[in-house]
Amino acid sequence: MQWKLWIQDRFSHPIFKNAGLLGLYKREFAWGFIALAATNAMTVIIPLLVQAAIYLMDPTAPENKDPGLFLKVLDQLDLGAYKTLDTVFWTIFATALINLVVRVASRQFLLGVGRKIEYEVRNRMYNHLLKLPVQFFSKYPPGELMSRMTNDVQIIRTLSGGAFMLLFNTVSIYLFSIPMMLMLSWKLTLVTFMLYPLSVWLMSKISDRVKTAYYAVQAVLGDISNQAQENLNGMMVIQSYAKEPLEAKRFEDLSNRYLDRMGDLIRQRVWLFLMMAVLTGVSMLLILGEGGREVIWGELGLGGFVAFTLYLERLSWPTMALGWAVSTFQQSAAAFERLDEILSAGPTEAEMTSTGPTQANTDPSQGLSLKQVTFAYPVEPGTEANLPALKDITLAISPGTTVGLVGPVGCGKTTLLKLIPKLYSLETGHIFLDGQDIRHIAIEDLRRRVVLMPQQSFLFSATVGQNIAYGEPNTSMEKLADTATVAGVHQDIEGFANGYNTIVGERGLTLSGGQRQRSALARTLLVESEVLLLDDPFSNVDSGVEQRIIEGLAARKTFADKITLMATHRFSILPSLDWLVLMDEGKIIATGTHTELLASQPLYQQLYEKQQTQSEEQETAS
Amino acid sequence: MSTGHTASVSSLDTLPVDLDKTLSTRWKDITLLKRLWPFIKPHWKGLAYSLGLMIPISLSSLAQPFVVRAAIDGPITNGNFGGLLQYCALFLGLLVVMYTLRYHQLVVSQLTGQRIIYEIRTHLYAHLQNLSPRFYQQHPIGKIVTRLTNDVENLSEMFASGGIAIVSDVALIMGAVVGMFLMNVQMALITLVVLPVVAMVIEFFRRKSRKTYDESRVRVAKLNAFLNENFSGIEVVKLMRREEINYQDFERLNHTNLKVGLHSVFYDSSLTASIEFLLNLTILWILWTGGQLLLAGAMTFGLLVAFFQYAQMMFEPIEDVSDKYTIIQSGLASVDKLMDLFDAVPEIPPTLEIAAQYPVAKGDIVFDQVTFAYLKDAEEPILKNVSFHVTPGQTVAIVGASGAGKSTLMKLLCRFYDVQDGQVLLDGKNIMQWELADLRRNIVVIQQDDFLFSRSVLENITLDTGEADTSKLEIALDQSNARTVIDRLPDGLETVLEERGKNLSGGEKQLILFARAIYHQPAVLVLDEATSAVDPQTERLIQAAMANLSQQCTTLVVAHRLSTIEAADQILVIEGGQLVEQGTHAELLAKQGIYSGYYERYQTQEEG
Repeated sequence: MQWKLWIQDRFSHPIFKNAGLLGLYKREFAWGFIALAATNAMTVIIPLLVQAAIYLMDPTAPENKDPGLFLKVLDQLDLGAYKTLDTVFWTIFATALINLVVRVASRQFLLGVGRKIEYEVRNRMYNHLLKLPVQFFSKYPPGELMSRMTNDVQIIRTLSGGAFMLLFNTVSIYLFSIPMMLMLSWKLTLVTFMLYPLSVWLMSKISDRVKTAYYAVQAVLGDISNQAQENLNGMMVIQSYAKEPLEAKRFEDLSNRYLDRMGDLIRQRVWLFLMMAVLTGVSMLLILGEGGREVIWGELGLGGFVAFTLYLERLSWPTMALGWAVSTFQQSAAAFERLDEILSAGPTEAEMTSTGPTQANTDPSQGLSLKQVTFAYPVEPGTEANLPALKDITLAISPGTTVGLVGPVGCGKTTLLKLIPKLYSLETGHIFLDGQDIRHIAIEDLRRRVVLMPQQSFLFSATVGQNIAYGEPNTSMEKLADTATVAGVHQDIEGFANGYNTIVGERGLTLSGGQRQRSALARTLLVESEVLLLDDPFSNVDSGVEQRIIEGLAARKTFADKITLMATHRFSILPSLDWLVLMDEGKIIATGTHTELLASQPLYQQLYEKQQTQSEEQETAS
Repeated sequence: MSTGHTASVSSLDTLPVDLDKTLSTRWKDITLLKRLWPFIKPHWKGLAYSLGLMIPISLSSLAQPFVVRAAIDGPITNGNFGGLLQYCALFLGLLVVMYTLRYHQLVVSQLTGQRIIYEIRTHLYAHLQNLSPRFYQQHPIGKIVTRLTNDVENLSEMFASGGIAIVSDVALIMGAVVGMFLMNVQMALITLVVLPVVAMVIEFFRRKSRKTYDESRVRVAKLNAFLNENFSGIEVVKLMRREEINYQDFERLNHTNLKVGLHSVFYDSSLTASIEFLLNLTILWILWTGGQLLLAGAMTFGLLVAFFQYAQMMFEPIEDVSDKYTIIQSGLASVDKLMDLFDAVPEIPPTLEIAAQYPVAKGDIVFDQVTFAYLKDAEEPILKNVSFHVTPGQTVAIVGASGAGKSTLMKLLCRFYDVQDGQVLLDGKNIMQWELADLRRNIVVIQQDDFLFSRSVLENITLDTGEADTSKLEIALDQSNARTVIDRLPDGLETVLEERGKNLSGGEKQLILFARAIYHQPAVLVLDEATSAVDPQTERLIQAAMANLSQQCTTLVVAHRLSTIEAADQILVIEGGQLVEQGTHAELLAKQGIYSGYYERYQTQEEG
């Protein structure tokens, strides 16, 4: 049952899955199609008017046997008095004028729908993306997502605007012309359209190939976009190691691959395009042969023959455009699939939060606790699982305490911090906040109560003020400045030409690393949370400034009942913290105060003493 | 003070827009096309060939009506069926010739277009590599990526369906005009009266449409910049619960984009409809004037019908040209944007050819009265008359408050920027006289938060695609202790890093960066606060590696760690852009000046 499969295949086009999207604009589509149909009716009417005019110029000429439909209709309506050249001219003019208005309207409706759908799809995508967990974004780099939200969305626009318009245009012009052609000669009509089924079949074959070729081109384009994005971001590395020729070569290779894929696509597309042109040409040949035969055998008048060729001419452009519309339809299948991949990507963060029983009574005195937390970073299904980054972590922190997380690089500090605001979802073990399992706390709610300052200080291209107020956009200027002062960045900002209104570059490039980090710290501190998580917050900050920040933080009243968990490599601040968690290879080795750990833990001693002896050595040496 | 700084206002309205030239500074289209010539030139043969094919294609297409007419006037009216078959065979022959040539021509022309695109893309990328950090600070990378992808794609559209199609349309129009004159001069002149009107209408909508196209590009670029940033910083977006606000910001940008889009749709629609209207008016005009001639006996029905056909033949390509015009417009807008990027002059003249061998420097560095400001007309330069001398193999620590100009010193040394006054010497030779590539191969810079590519760890260390130099690699892995990181990774050296090395911790990244630096065996190593994100244990290992390295090469460190500073052979204290103190740790302590103040603070901190 090949044809059944074929039909199934046609109807499995992702457009049907997304029909709801098009349905949103059914009014625009309806009006657009009506206007388009009206326009095409006018296009068929004007030749009839011309026929009438020619008849009226010299009704007695031997060629003018047929007065034509228009004059016959006038007779039928008892309007014989209006059978003048002037009437015909004015009717042509009026028809043309109406056609102008209706044509603008049809295009405005139908092309406008394309734009509106583009807008709608982008909104939906972005909205959905915002709901996806961060791990999704490490799978799809920004370049990839952007290519989908621009290139693919544009194809959907072309489809829903231009391609549908052309498709309907072609259909309606056929609907208007075929009755006329049948009237002239049904045999000739049949012969003319004889080849159409064959060519439709051929076209669908070729357009499958166009689809495959298009996929390949888009994939390489995505690679180019990613490569460009990455190399531009890392340009200073490329330049400082003088690797320009190598990278240029890499880019050239990629561009060459693109050229190859594009060559395939071009060949297939040209085939598709020519199919339609060939169809028209061959149809003309058939009209010449069969039509000529009918004239010779007296089955058709010469006028009818000429009219037939005129109708074919009118059909040729829309038919050729059909080729384009079909190729867009095919391209859009790929684009739709790529968009679907994003739009149906899941689970969303909200879905990852279980809706299980919410404990009604939360107890703020219980603070933050972790119970037997084991965690490995998620992998793609089918690939080997990651080794656990955290193993059997149990920990309880009561309100008002500041706890330090210490341990060698890669011991799991960052992972631990990221689990608390649910940047990753926990499989094994529990994390409780105020006695409530965070699995049952809505993300939005949890992140208001728990705020994390990540290791990398990412700033947005906005003013410094906007960046600091990122989490609390409605804060007052006083509070902003106050927090910036605590974070030790206020003075720097005051020193900028535009103060808090100074715009920082795409990645906060105009600021020094320390300034960026302190701005990010201010941004974090501004959020009034129960739990403050800091991931190596002073790595780029000068020691003196760091000390001032610590003192300023301690002096803040809001700090009294807050839980602070700070991963750090700076031993200078550890003695001033309430207690510490010593980690190694994903496990907690020990907890205790600085003095306790120093007394009992060799690893801690090692870490601490190294720093101590280092400075002492230098001192004695001097 | 009010809440005027709240971030709910879309930050994108304040994005630098210098890439988006305003209409007033727009060049003439011709000038733009002229600038494309260097890229077209290598492929002119392909272009000329496909243009040349237009002649036989047009001829065979114009010949078809003649065959039909001859068949009608001949065998069909005479009732000669055999003769009709001959004409059919002739017609078939014409079709075969035409479509074979047409296939060939379409493929060649589009491929040539793609080859030109290839030239532009690779040249643009190579050009971008020559631009200095200042450029990248001023231009959002998202926008530049848009240039390399979307704008270049637009050009390909311009060549493929635009340029070549327009030439073939023009050929058809010319053919129709010639045909009309051959048939009847008077009627030809009457018909051609319409042409200027058509041209004027096109020109009117062209201007309107171009404006909206430009604006549309700006909007799309802003949308892209917004998305790029929000995807890169998704963690912050989520942690700060900005989903809703950012969605609103996005929706606003998207909506402006939609409004501009609908405007351009209106002009597009009006243009197409107007041309159709003009075609109908032309038919009316021919009918009216021709009718009078006919009544006066000065013309025949056959001629009248022929002129309708010619008018139609002329208008179809005109309508097509106007459709293609929007493609050309969008292509030209992209050319303009691309040329803006090409116009960005490399601040530092790049080396065009990089030789395999380079002179290895001893590592003697002199800063001689160096003055520098990031902005040429800045009131306060960031560095003022800084002079110092570093002998080969020395380790120098640079100390000072943040923003004092420490990092700037480093950027001047490897010529990311050029000094405004004074000079910098490497091995007694002004760095400006060094081949840039040679200079940079002698100096390795490790910046804070340095960049890792999403390639394998090995490629990140060697920065090369070929075979790694095993002995150099072994040394690098040993000395940097990057081995500890690599052992932990699932595929060892072959592990592919995530974007910006996200799957590594800060300390792990540092170790890889160290291995990268050591692998390249520099004469001068410049560390910009690079040790800061490493835990004490790892830092200790790195210090050991640095001890090895500093015996082999000159080392400059912008440092905060007391141990690093104390170990240095020389300490430079920078304050307010000036070198205020210089000497060994002991000398500076004895001075009881600014450094000893620093030192005390460091000490109390580290001893807790």
